[in-house]
Parts: sequence; structure tokens; C-alpha cells
Amino acid sequence: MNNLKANIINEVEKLFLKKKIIVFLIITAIICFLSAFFISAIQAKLVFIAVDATSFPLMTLSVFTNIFLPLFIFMAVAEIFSGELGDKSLKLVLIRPITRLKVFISKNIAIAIYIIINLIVVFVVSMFSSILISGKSSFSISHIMFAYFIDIFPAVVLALFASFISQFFKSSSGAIITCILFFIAIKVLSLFISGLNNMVFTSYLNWYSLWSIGGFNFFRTINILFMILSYGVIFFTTGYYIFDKKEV
Amino acid sequence: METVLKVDCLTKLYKNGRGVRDISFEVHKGDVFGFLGPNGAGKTTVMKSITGLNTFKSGKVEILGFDSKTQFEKALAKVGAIIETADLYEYMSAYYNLKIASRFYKNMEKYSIDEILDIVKLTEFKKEKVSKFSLGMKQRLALALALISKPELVILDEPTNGLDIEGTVAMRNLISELATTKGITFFISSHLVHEIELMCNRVAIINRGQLINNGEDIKIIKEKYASLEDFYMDEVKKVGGGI
Repeated sequence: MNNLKANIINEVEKLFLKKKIIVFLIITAIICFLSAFFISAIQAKLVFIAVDATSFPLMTLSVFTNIFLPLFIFMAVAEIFSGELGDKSLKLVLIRPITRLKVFISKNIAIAIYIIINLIVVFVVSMFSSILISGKSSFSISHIMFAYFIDIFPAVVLALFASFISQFFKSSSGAIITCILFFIAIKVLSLFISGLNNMVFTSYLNWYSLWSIGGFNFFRTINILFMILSYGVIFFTTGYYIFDKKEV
Repeated sequence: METVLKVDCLTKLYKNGRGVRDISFEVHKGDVFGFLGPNGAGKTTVMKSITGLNTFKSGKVEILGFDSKTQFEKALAKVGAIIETADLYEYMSAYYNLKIASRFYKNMEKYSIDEILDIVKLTEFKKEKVSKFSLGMKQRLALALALISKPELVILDEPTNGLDIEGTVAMRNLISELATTKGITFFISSHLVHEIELMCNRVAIINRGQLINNGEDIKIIKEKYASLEDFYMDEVKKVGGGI
């Protein structure tokens, strides 16, 4: 257990010691901040766009989880798996007294922490921007926090999917490109094949927005939760199987 | 005599049919054990199998009495290794590389890292990024990483590979010093007979994936042969190999 904890700290540190990870976090914050002012500026001229202080953080969440976050996840996962295999630094962990299962778990937990940090940054910046736009802070923070919280789960499953794909590559660029192509292919296919949209995990990246459509349905929510978890278990198991057999 | 490393009938075959077959030998406490063989003989394959970087088809590896397959964490707890090349986190400083590795071991304090940096003579470069290091410095840092576990066994795969004369001598002296002063057991592979002769007290010879000698005392060899090189050539000829 101590070694698992040690490697989680190591993996998080390794991730944040890479400049591009920090740069992308800063870019996220800047885009988020500037988009609030852009929307408020055009809202004054175009009547049909209605973004208020409450909906801006939720709208940002929707855009972020569907477009930017998947990209950041693919990049981080590729760095942590394929990148380390490519530059041979994976060996440095594997010759330590820690089993491969713990290494695999700790790497995925590090990605989950990275996802949470990304969402916290977006949450804080979008809330701050909202206050600046509307000049008040009367909206329900707990409601928005909950929306950000539940969107962590599908994002983690997407990370497990990416870590499974990354097992087939020895370079991070190959892994990133393949993850993006798979992601786009799933999105495009779900437009043309009826019913696919309900079955693939990528449709639930902004899970909260689906909760708000037609009110809260307990059984439907549980159903989706189990489906997302099932995808997670499948990707984790297959990913670990390949990782465990890997000859470094 | 206490056995630190026991390899029993180890067989590891790759898809192309190459690999190692029926490798058995023992390394005892206090040994500086040489693993001699030409390039492609299977030295790295054996070392990777011992440290868990490879999976092997059959056989058994015991490190300090623990099975490397079923008790991996315990087996590797007091082992340090450099396999193939000195791979490091190039974007980190020397100190940070050691700090990351030290978290896997209990009671590793800051002074231990400083002490190890001092042993490998990298104290003045501890805050520099590894990407700026020379090959010799990287090799010494890799050895520091192997020492961070306060190991009883250190496995080194061609530790002087790519080093210049000064670097080679420094590395050799460091290994001898650690073996003498700290009582660390070393298992060192090399394709250079001279290297093994200078550093080790026992030697095993591997050729074409098979062990042709499983741990002769170098002093005894020298009583029978003019040099270790003669012994090596003789052993290889016995199994129909050599020039």
C-alpha cells in the first residue's frame, strides 16, 4: 500500500514537472476567462444568446468536457504510458519493489487527479468570470459544483480508454493521434448509427447536461452509471493485461 | 555461504526462437559476480528476467530467499539495478531523480540522498537537469539510483558501456569500493574479459543462450590458465563455439 501511495505521488509529480502540462492548464484558464467576456460582449448585440451567471460555468463545462478535456487526457495518458516506454524511463519504476498492477493503478489515479485539477481550474475561472460579467454571486454554487463533480466519472473512463490504446504504442505522438482518431470516429459513427449514441461512453462526457434534460430520472441515471463503470472495468482490465505482459 | 541470488533452470525464449535456456547459477553474499559473454549471448535477457522486466517461460529466480514471481516486492526490496542503459528522467535534476526513487523505500531521508550523491561524486551537480549530463555522469547517477534502496544486491548490465577510459576506471573503482566498504554483492554483466577480470571474484560464462560455466572462482582459474581470456576461449571451444 505504501508503494502504491509512493508511486501515485511520483506519477503526479512527473506529470506536473512537464512544462506542457502546466502550459495547457494556463491556456485552459485563459480561454475560459476570455470566452466569458466574448460571450457577454456579443450577448449585448445578439438577443438570442442568453448566458447568465449560472449558465456560464455549465456552458463552459459542456464545451470543456467535450472538446478540450479529451485532448488533455489523451496527451497526459500518452505521456505517462507510451512516452515513458519510448524514452525507456518506464524501466525506472518497474525495477522498484512495486508490482505492475500497482504501477498501472497509480498511473491511472495520477490521470484522475490531473482531470480533477483541470476541472477545478475551469470551475474556479468560470465562476470568477461569471461574477465579473454579472457583478453578483447569487447563483447556486453547490448546484454547479455538483455538475462538475459528476463529470469526473465519464472523464476517468475516457482516460482508461486512452490508457488501453496507449499500451499499443511506444511513442506518445502515435498514441495521441490514435486516441483522437478513435474519439472522432466514435462521435461520427454515433451520428449515423441510430442507438449507438446511447451505448457509447463518449456520449456522456457532459453527463450533467443529460440529467437536466427532462428532469432527473433515478433508474435512467443508475443505468448510465453502471454502463460507464462497465466501460471503465473493461478498459482497465484489458489495459492492465497488456501492460502486465509488456517486455521492457 | 549465504545465497543472495539463485537462478534455477531459467528459460526465456523470444518469438524469433532466440533467448536463453536452462540457466542455473548462484551468487553468494559478498561476491562480485561476473556474467561474461559475447554480444547477443543472452546476458541482458537473464538480467531482465531476474528484475521482472521480462516474463520467462520456465524456471525460478530467488532473490534473498524470495521468489521473484510470487513475492516480487519483497524480492526487489533490497535490490538495485541498471539494465541495458542508464535510463533517467532527463527533465528532472539529479536530486529529483533520486527523490522519486527514494519514496519506494522506508526511512529514506534527505541526508541519504546527499550521502549517495557524495558517493558517486555528483553533489555539485545535484540541481542540474540530467539532460545536460555527460554519459559518465548519467552512468554514475544510474548507479546512485541503484544504491538508493541501500541494496544487498546490485545488478549492473554492462556498467562501463560507452564510457571513456577515465569514466571506466572511475566506475570500476566505485564498484570495488562499494563491495569492500559497504559489503554489497554485485552481479555484473560484460562482454569484456578484462573488465570482469579486474572487478570480479567469480565468473559465469554464457554463450548462444546457454550457460557454459556457472560460477568459477577467478583465483582458481588464474592458477590453471594464464589469463581469464584463455579460460574463456577454452570453455567456449568445449561447447563448439568460439572463433
